[in-house]
Amino acid sequence: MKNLNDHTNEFRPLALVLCAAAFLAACDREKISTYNVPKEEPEQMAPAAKIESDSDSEAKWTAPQGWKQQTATPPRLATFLVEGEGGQRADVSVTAFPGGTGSDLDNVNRWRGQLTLPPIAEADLAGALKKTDVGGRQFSVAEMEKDGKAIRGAILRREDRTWFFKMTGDAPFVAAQKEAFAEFLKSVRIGGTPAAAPEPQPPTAPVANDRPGWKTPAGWQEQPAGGMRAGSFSIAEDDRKADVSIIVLGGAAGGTLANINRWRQQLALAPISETDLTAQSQKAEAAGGSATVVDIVGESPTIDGKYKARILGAILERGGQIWFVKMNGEDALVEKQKPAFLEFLKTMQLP
Amino acid sequence: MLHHGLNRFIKPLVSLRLAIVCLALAMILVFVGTLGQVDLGTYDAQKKYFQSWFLYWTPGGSGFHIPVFPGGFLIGTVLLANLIATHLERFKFAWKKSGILLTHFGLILLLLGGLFTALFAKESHMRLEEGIGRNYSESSTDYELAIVDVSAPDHDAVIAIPGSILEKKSHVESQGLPFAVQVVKLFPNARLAKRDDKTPPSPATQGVGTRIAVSEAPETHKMDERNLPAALVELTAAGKSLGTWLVSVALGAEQKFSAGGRDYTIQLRDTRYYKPYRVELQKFTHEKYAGTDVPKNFASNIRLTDRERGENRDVLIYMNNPLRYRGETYYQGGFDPNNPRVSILQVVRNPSWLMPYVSCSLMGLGLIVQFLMHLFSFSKRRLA
Repeated sequence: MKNLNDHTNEFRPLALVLCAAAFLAACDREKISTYNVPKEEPEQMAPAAKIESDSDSEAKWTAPQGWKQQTATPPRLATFLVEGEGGQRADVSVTAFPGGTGSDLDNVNRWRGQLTLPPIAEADLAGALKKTDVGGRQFSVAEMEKDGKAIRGAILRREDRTWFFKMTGDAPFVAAQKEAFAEFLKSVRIGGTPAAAPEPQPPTAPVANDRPGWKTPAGWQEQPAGGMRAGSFSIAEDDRKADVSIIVLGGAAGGTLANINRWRQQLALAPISETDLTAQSQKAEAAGGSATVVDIVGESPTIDGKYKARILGAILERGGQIWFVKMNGEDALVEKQKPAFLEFLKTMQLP
Repeated sequence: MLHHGLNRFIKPLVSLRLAIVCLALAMILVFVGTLGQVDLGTYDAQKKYFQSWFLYWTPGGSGFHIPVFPGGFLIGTVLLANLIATHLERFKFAWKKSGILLTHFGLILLLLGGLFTALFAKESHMRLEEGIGRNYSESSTDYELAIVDVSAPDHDAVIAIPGSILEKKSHVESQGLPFAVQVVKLFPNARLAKRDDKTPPSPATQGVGTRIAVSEAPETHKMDERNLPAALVELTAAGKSLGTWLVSVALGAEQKFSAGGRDYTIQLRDTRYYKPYRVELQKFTHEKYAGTDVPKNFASNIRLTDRERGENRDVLIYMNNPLRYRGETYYQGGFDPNNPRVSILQVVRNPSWLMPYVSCSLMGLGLIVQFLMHLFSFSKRRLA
């Protein structure tokens, strides 16, 4: 009897550990959480409407001399880089949001927050935000500075939306650019009516399990497709190499022209306009439909310093998705593989 | 000798047999877990086999989960208890044993560190485009249903319901939410397409979902693919339905609605971890070997602003040069092959990140001490 008791005692701690483990396993560590976050800054919100910067009739402006236009990504409608002597630089952004987009005080305090300045009170607003008449319109302009960085921002309120023009950069340089900034504000022309409010668009990301099909041409080595790639191949001949990628994106993915210009940029070629597109591209049969094909060669030898790089790319739209098939590699090899590439497009089967 | 009562608890754990059984079970677990990765992928296999207390067996068609084998946590915990108990029971300090003691202490720390990392470490990512700043990072594996009260002028009140709760419960209520959330259907992985005249009407009655056809897709466990969960949720207040929404992580933006005189947004999104500071990408340098897509060098020039601590500085994050700030580490994680202005930072919060370093140093030191003591006594004996 005693022995049995001893054994029971012996296992008690082990049983305790097991019970504790079972308890921990059963208790759900995932909980509904409740918290407050500061309002997301308008710069992170979706813009009221996609407005192509100065090419659109809705909004126009002229960049002062020395301002370099950069690719603007939403919600920005325009981005400029201004560089001065000794590496001084400033960034200029143009954004527009529907409605009031917060009070003037909110916006000034948001900018102050970006420079880690403490917020100001309503009573101090009149001193911080000055109404300025530029080209017959009332802009509210604020300037602030901390630790060598400065922001000069202008707010233009229209009936339907509020426009923000903001220069951020090295403080002395932002001060020196005051005239240019005013000149820029003066050049701003806004007209037309806003487009509809944004709605989330249906498929925005590739659905992982839709597998396309194709027939791999001779000499193409299939590579593991990773990341955004739905398919990947490599081609090698002597020391010449080429890479074929197949990528699918939801929605318009920026449109055909923007993507062709992105490829041109990769070869250090100047962008083309919509009117040049027909002349510089051709239609080819692909996946039972048609694709826009471009064939572009870089101007100087960039591969190992002896070969020119060339991109042979096809863009296909299917069921709300856009497919990119791109051969990127050495000029002569891409030329040689072009018939295989066009044949490959025909064999493609898309979900 | 220890107190008798305590001794009774500790004694059964002081067993070499227990240690060997644990090690044998651990070997089997590692073997089975490694095979499990084929079907489950690294992340899910790690969760199922190693970061769990038990492996469960669910008989076909039933809702029971029957524990059939100890998981990594349980084996590790018993091994740890065994190691500590042995030391308590047999502890007798002697200089001769200091090396062994140090080594074992290091081993205990290593086991604890592993447990703490599994329990408390959080990995997420921050996707930034040049000129865009964020004060949150997002999970790559977990998702949440975020219902946000956007009525207040200066802040948003967020109620985040983890995906794991949506998977288990069909009816969710929470304080602060004036309505109940009814999960009509949950798709662990879904395919969305624009509805046309041929597709049957959408179960969603509100928002963008009315124009979308949603269908189930097989779940993926591959490392380079991800599931895109979606759900049909109905919101009810006082027994009255406010409507049914289709939410999905594949829908980029939140959907707005009003209830009880307040404005809300609803969105299924990757689980967010908010920070008391802000990270803005100023410039992303992305160099590839000429003519290829092979990465050569990535660097993200970010601006860190922290109003609480008066921090406002530029930081350059590049390979092997992460930013450590407020208990989180920002590594240069990746890039978007379709947008050269996008940098993806990997954000790791691991409160016990120092433990493996400390424990390995202790174990190394212990082994050196033990070796040197043996060496000295050996050479003394030879000289004698």
